[in-house]
Amino acid sequence: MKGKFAATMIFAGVWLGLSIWFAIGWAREASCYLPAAYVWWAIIGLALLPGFMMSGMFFSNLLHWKCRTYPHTGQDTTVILCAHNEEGTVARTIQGILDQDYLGKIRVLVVDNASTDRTRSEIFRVKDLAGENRQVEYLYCAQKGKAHALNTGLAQVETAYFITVDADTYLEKNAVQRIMDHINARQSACVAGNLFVDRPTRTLCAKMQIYDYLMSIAAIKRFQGSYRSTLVAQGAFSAYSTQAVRQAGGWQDRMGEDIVLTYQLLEKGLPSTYEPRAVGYTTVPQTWNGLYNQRKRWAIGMLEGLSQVKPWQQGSFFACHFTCLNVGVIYLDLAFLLGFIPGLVLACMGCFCLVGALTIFTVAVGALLSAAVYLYQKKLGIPFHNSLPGFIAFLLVFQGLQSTAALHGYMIHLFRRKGEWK
Amino acid sequence: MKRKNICFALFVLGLIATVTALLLWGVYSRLSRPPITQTLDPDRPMVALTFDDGPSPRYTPQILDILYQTQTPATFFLVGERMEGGRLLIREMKAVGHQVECHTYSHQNLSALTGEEIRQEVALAQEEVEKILPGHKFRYLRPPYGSYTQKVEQEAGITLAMWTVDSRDSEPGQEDKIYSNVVDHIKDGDVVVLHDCPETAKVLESIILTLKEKGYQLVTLDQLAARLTQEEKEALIIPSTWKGKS
Ligand SMILES: [Zn+2]
Repeated sequence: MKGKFAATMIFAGVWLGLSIWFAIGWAREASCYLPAAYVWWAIIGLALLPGFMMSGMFFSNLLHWKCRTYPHTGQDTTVILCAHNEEGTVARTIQGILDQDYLGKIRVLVVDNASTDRTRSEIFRVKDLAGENRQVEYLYCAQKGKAHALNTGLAQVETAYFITVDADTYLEKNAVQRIMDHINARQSACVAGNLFVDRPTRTLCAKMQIYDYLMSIAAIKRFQGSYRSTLVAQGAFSAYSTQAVRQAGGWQDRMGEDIVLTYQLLEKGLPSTYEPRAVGYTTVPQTWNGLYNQRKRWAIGMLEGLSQVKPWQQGSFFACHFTCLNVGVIYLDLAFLLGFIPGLVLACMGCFCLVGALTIFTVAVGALLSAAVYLYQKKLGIPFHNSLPGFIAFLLVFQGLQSTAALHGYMIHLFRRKGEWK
Repeated sequence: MKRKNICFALFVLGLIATVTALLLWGVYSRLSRPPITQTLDPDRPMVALTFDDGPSPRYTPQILDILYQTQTPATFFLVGERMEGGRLLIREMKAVGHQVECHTYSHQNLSALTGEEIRQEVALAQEEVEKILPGHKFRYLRPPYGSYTQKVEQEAGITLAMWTVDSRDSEPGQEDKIYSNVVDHIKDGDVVVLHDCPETAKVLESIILTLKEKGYQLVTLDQLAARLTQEEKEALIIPSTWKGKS
């Protein structure tokens, strides 16, 4: 692990060095037109930092190209499934868990988080369909808030490991087996599953997100997971060590309760990993506003995690490294909005002083990284949807929306306003 | 919730627009600089600096800055296919009073081309420059590599403009040599060839200052030609050797 990390750092460092060497001339050129401080700020955010991150990710993911398999386990496990007004999806999600090809027993704890719709009756409708080795229990949590619901479930867990699944995340048939094999063999504190977009057929906004999950999110998780430092074991589908989570005190009532928990596990020096072969299909926001709100929450969650456990408080060198890069993401969001977009306008008007040759270089490494991740996901043999309009929208509008929403989230966190549940 | 999101997005959009406007203002303020001023004394010696192979997004701005700071007009021989990437630079050249001339469309050795191809090289470059400077007509062609034949002269349809002093600035890392190549043997009526390249950007300022110190007035090709006798002009256009030096 250390050797591969060192090799990755050398590769990314060489890339960074070359970029800087190239950027000096570029900056001199651009400074003829624009203030030098702004030019350097933009070059760092548009080329140096993303180039360093993406080249490292690309190289590391190549080094970890081979998909690891683990011996099968058949130990009993528990799934915590929280539902707040999820009448539309909860039954199908439970059904998906009951239909798992898992060798051991699965006990599903469905926590009804003060639902006011037909969630309860939907749960009871499928509850008795549980076959051999499968069991569904209904729990009720009156206190609104996902963290409370999760803690209600956690109190009932009797197995060494448990899995959390969102009410709108449908698990692929082997998902539980693979994530259990992984956590059992690697002794991780938490394992993030691989999320694909579920049924993205309705809106362009949903189709666009296929590629964010398929390429960006998966690339980052795999990169971090290779060094046991996946920064987000997302609540939508992850496995946890019961003992580790209990020691961390369970979930806190925060906007990004899953992020904060992962950070706390990492702070103790516990490994947080990623299993690409355990796939869940998650329902993504269908509207632009919904997506905006989700990304805003993620940004707040990231800052909550960062302020709960500062990068230098992290338990391992790797976790420290990755959380530092996460701080860099804030910089990237700003640079995209106030450096890249204006630079693009300038380029359209014939001035390539901001968005020029080095940017193309960066875009190229990004494309290379994405292509490699795409091939890797394809190789897993788990079906996912493709959509050309979605891909085009992903290229054209996704980053703008994501960065704006993230910036909004950072502002909210900064001014400590209270957000909403989910 | 939704309204707040839209408001924030609009706020960010406004911020982006403001930054973009400031940047555009920064870029265009170069174009609106007052033209280079000079009063020519016909009795004092004159030298024309010419720059080939531009525009280069990297080096042309630096050269333009040095020329502007020292209030030196010059002549640029531009390559047609490179013009699209330097629209603002070309407009700036014209705006501050430099002379903009032709260095073919794709910088090929004209001596090796057919008559039709030679005409194309000039016509395409002319087309490109008119996209950026409407109505601009090239009056001089500097053949790439200084290479031409009688056929080139006839087919090109515009006057060939050569040089009398070669800076040899295409040899990298030789800034001192470039400086002395230009400065050591300079005389009245000389045309110096330089390129939009890193070495030139480094030594240009000291070349200009030295020439001015020696009492030379730095002028455009037009200004120089206006003062030359017919004989001198022909010597400039058709040098003693048929093939250029570099
Ligand atoms: Zn040339």
